[in-house]
Amino acid sequence: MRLRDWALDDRCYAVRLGASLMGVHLPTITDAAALETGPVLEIDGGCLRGPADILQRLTSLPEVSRDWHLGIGEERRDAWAESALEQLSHLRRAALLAALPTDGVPPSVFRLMTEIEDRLSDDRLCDRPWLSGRHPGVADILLFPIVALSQDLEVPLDLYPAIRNFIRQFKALPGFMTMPGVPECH
Amino acid sequence: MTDWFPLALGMDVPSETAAPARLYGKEIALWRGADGQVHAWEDRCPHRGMRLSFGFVRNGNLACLYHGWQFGADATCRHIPAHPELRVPGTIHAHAYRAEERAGIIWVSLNEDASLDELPDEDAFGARSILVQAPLASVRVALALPEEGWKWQEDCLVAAHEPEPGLTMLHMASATLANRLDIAARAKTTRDHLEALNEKVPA
Ligand code: FES
Repeated sequence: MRLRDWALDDRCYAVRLGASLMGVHLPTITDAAALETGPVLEIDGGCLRGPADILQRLTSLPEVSRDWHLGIGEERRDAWAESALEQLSHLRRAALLAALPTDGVPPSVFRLMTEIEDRLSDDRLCDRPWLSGRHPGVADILLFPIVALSQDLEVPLDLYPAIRNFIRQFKALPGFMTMPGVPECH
Repeated sequence: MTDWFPLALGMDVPSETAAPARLYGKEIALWRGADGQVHAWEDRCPHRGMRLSFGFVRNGNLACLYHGWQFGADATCRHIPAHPELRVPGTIHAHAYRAEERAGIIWVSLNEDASLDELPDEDAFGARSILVQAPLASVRVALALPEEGWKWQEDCLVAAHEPEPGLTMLHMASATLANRLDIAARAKTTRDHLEALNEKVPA
């Protein structure tokens, strides 16, 4: 098993982060194509694509605690988090590759952050500490790179208290690891 | 015009953490010690200007993320890790503002003599701080917020501040713990309504 990885890609980071949190040893090989395609997991003689599918596959490995397994009906949250990550990844690539600095936070980024903030804020009032319920899961792992790397798009976090809270509790998880652009401690 | 600005819900600055806030673009670090006391300081370390809201709380002090200078509850610098033997001169300190927690909300005043009479004195529980993409002036008019910048709307305390021109943070607190979800839902409806109104206003 190994990951075709691009260190600075947010979707690849989600997979490395998930493996680290779940205690899975995941060798990586640098593959510039992953900047476009996102991460690819070579496993059982085949290739698995898409961060949500890869992370779900990792949760089914024998060494991974059952706590990481999906609760009933949680697939929708994984799909939602994956499409949010795709959106951010797209916007972030556009911002980082832009020849000129852009003026202010684009409206699409505000929309994405508002959607995430609404969900995390409602969950918190319902005593649901993680997107995935009582224990963090695939949806949470997919969400973290979005909210942490939103800093690359100059999103001011004072506007999003539930997201701040999520970042703080996520960073305290055993096995948490960073990537360039995500400060170690906060 | 009031001296007190509602900058955040108390629950959004948990014990032993720091959080960023802005008031008309002015950056403010909010932090809470283990004793529960909330502080509001200029978000700028006196050493090299790092944002103190990135810092962490240790032994009742706020420690700067950059070189670890630690500031006590009175804002004076207590410890410089690079010079552990040094008795830090009292002239080195962060710039503190007044902070007061009332009705589930953290209120900050830049005026040292501000009177506490302007603040609500009933209990309330924070439900939601929500971003509204509209200027505070129009939010005030639409919600009929009085001079003090806050009011009770039945069982809900509504307050607002402007982090930067054109954006408003609406803070809503509930008179009862049980009603917080309802109030949070109301906050979303209010936001959607205010943003729709704002879009109609010709630029
Ligand atoms: S900038 Fe804060 S300790 Fe150096």
